[in-house]
Amino acid sequence: MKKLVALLLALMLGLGAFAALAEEYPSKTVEATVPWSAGGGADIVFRALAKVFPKYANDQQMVIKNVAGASGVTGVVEFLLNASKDGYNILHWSNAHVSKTHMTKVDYDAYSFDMVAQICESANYLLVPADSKWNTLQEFIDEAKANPGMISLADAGVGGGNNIAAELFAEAIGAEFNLIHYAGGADEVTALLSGEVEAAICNTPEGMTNVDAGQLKILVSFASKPFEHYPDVPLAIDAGIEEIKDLVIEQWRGVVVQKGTDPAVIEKLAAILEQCVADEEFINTLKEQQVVARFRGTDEFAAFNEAEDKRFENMIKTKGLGDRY
Amino acid sequence: MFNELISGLQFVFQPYAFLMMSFGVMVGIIIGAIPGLSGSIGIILLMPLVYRMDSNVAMVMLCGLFCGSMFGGSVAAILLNTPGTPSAAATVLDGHPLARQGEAGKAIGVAAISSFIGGVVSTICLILIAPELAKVALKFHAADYFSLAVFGLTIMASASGKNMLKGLMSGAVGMLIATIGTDPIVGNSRFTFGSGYLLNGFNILPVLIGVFAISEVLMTVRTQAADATIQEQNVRNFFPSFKEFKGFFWAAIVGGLIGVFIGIVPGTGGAIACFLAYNVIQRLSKHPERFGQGSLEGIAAVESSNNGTTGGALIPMLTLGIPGDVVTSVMLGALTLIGVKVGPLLFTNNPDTVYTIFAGMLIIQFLMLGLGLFYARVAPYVLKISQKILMPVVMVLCIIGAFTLSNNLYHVYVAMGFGVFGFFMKKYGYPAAPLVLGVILGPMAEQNLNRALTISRNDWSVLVTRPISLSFLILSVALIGIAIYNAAKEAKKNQETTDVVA
Repeated sequence: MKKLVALLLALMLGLGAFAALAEEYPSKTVEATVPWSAGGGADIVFRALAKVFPKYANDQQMVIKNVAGASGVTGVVEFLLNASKDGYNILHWSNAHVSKTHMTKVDYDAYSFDMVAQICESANYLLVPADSKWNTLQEFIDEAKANPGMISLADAGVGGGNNIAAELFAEAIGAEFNLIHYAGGADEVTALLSGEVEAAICNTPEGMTNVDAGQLKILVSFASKPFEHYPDVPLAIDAGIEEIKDLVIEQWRGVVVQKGTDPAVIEKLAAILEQCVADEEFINTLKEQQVVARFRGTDEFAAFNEAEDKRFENMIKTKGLGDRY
Repeated sequence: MFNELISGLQFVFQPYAFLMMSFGVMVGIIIGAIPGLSGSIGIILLMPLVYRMDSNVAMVMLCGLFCGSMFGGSVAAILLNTPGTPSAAATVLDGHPLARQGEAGKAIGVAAISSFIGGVVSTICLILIAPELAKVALKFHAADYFSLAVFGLTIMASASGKNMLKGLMSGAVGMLIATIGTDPIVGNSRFTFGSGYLLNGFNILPVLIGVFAISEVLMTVRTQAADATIQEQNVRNFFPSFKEFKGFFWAAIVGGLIGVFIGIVPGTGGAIACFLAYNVIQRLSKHPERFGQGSLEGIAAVESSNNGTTGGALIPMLTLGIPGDVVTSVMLGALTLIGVKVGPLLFTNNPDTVYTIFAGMLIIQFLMLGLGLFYARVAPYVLKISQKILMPVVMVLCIIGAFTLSNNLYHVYVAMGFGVFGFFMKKYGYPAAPLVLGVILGPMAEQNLNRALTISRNDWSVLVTRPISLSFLILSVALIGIAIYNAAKEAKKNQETTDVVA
């Protein structure tokens, strides 16, 4: 009899513990690895996320671990090797990481992790000096098509988001640019201001303070929604130009975890993230950078990730960028 | 303008702001003094504090850290033959020899005073003529950066000390090391051997730690007794005499101006400024042969130029929203994090922030001078500690510094590797300073040449038709010419002496 009671108790405790484990996530601090240095775009978004995270996650904190290097590779590799599978280690994932896997042979690809959710997106856009000879997008496209390889167009590094956006744009309108690679968005803006290049493809918030000051202007945005701050800037999909009516190029960021993490935990995490993305404070902090809070759930994000992966693979193979192919 | 400056000063003298500013300077000096930690890492380490502060207070604290770290690097350079930050890489050339002569206190004192002068010069430029100077930042195109890098590389010859050939080889190795990683033009991997870590190449900080600090530790272990200490220090005399002050004052002013100029140009910073200033002052000095042996002018030139870059780098940041060097770019990130929109409209939208920065920078120089002279009095005692305690401590600090870079042991291994490499360099007489120059300037030269030619569509004449580029190239040719002429003269003189003897 005693043994039976003991067995029943053990079973109940066991079941209770099991249920508690799944229900109680998170029951300690979650560590987010950001493979970029502090103060950069990725870091700002994830710190904004960390700020609102405790509200929806049993008051548990999210701490940011910056592991910068090799355009994101160092941090991802470290996560791959060291992160636990219990959902308490999460990784920043973005289009930059996906495109990097096609630039060089690295130890992972777009499918090495379990997707959790997308948390934001930001527009790519075309910047020119305020006094440049082009006043409309059509003028720019016409001159680009008439003089292949003559217009200098800046991007933020070969294989990076702005570079791929520039290539996609060039491919869509059937033109060729003289692509000039810089080491980051700030350098692109400097080059525009100094007159070194005639145009630049940028990502928010690069150059926006200069647009506000009247030194630069945006000819077109490749986002799916207009800028709240600049309602007059045309969208590529709305501009009435046939070739670019389907052209949406945005940079996006999301959260992934180690492959093999318990699906129940992933579901819980995704639910928490959904609430974070809908949080006013998060949305407003991102708005300061002209970044749009956007949620894509687990399956939708996985499908989107795959679509982007194929798009980049195609573009990088065609243009012969990097040395993987 | 003066009204706003006064209100800026009023803000800065409030207890909380003043306290945070002093804290920033003090932390900056300490971080600068630890090999491997630099101003940018210091800002990142203070981010949690910055996050919770009023943005104006945060700004002056960060500026304090920036200026403090520029001076702090010299402390390690003088005492331990290791630059605490890349901007102090040229301070070892004259600073450590002075320490070996027992004059570490005076060396640090001169460094503090020169840092002060450089900082004041750059702050005055910042306050009075920032918008005009910002235009200089925009005049530099890729071709000009390339020629500046070439000019910087020719300076290698004068930073080589006695043996120019070994110095040039050292510099060439530095350039080779810098090619490891991802090629910025087509994205190819170079010398990465398939390793994900090497895709990034070697960061300058672990290389610096290894080649200077760890090699020094290894060298000391090999050559000295455990209880030995570096030369008995004259700790009473840390303030230079008036005569000495008159001697290096001009070097400090010129160095400061060079620092401002380099600081304004985006993408260049303290490290380049310090070598440039060292070279220029050596050429202009009445006693060029003393350089490398403990010349006060040498220290003055380096320290005033690296503090000159602080005000200089703030100019494009505040007028155009473009960071002038590495530390200001991290500062920009930190400010964005707390919601300060740094850009061309800062002057019009937030003039109080701007004038707070101006006032803050002025007061920071005095704080730094005070703290610096205090260190000059106290720090030489470090050299009284026997090597068997000092060296392990240095080693631990180096490892911490290398690790902090990205919370990853990779950089520690890099530093160790370069430590061994640096040991052999020291053993066979290869100077380390040109290696640093090579690592920094090699990529700058390559990327900008590539960019210049891509923009001009393979038209090489762009290098000589642009006035700035042409000037630097002419200067480089002139420098090389002078070096060859001097070497030939030396050889002829030696030949004559041997003839006479024979």
